[in-house]
Amino acid sequence: MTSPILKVENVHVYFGKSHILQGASLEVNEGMTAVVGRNGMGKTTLMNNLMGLVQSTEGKVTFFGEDITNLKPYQIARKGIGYVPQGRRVFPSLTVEEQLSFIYRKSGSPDGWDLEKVYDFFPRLKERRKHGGNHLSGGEQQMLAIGRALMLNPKLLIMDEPSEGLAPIIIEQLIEFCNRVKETGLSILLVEQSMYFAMNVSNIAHVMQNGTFVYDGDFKELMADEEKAQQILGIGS
Amino acid sequence: MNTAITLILNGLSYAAILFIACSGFSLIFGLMNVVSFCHGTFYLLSCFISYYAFKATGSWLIALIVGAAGIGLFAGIFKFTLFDRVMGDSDRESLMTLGMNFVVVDVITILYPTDAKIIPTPQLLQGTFKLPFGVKYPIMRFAYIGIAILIGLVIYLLLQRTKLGQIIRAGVDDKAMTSALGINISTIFTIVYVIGMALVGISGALGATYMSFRVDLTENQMLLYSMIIVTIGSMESIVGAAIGAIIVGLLDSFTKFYVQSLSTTLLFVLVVVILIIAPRGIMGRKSRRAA
Repeated sequence: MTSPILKVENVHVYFGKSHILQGASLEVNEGMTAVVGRNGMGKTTLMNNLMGLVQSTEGKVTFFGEDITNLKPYQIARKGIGYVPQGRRVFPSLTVEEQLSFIYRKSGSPDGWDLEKVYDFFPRLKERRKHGGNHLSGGEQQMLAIGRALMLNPKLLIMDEPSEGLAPIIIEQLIEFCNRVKETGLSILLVEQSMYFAMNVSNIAHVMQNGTFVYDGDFKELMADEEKAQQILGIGS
Repeated sequence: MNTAITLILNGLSYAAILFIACSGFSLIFGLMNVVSFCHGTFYLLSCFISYYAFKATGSWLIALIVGAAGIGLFAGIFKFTLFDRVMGDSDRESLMTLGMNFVVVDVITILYPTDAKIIPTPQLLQGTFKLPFGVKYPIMRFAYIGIAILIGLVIYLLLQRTKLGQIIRAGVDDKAMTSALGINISTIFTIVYVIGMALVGISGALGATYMSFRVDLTENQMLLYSMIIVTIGSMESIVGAAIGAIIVGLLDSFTKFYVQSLSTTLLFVLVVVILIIAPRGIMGRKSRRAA
């Protein structure tokens, strides 16, 4: 067993007096890691903490063995984490091509990502390259947010609720994209509320409830156990 | 007719100075969300620095360069030593810049008598242009309009055509996201702050040649006008600053000629009307982050 890419140990985050993350621990290994759970359980807060956007009061985060706890967001990005945020957050004032270019970080290897490869991966973005970020459809924005993160040539991609607000047909495309990204050897940490989406890209589920992890294991096994799934995910299967 | 032409030209040349001062103000506000209360004071400081640089060297151009570089440098040191300590906390930011305002004004008041001063027009730009309807207008003031257009174009190209400009626009759109994509946004802040303040330095040197300046009057008027301009134009757009500057310049010129006593009042009536129609300013976007 190789050591994990990203290791989260007992992380606590407060917003004022509310204790949002209450000792979250998670290991992200090669391949796809899916974090699921109901709304308001702390999934996005955990991702924000991993990216340095909110600070933890306790706990430790290591990335390839290096302590990155509470570093600044740009430092964490430069260590090799590509961030696809909830709500996509594309830049309305920049064209598609501009926002792919200005953050570009060259990869050491010849088969790293660059503008051309991202366009090959998302041909739609090439068609829309002169358009502003505010003139894109939801699906196009999601492609841009993913493409933008790939331009950093990251070692790990963090995707927060990529399926949110997208039409079913776009979600199918997104599942395909995720599986293609996986094939390139890039590891992904996915946060999803949609069980359908998460189950289609990952075999393992990490379930968050009230700011901590309550299940780490086989996805199908969890879904087969109706009572447990109902209890921690709030769904009947 | 020739009164109207003269008043329009007066308004536009004053707008030129206001625009140069406010382009810095709106860049800083757009990117950093900082309302710099020492904006007018830095303008006044530049008037003094360039005035004494002119007295020492006799060169108008050197005075302009010293004014711009001096304020850029001073602002850089201010940001690095003091402002960075409070950045991100808007209450403390306001207090810090307000405090800086008092300190600089008091130091100037102690060092120099409060009589009004003016830098004489450089030889090359003396004289007047003859226009239709028998209007004669100083070449110097046309030069101001030219300089403002040139500076506006340079800023526009910087924002639209360079990588730094892309980073600045991204930062104005979404600071945290820009940072999460590997950009050290606080370095960008420092660059923008120094550029913005150097522009204030330029406008101070130009303003001191345009009309006399004195402590306790000049800096307050400039701060007030800067705030009005970015409010009506849009807090985060350079085109907005230009439109705002032209409106304020023209209104200032006409009201001071016809209804001097109501000049400031009418300016605020205009602000209220514009904010009712366009709450985010004439060039403002509906929301900072498009969904």
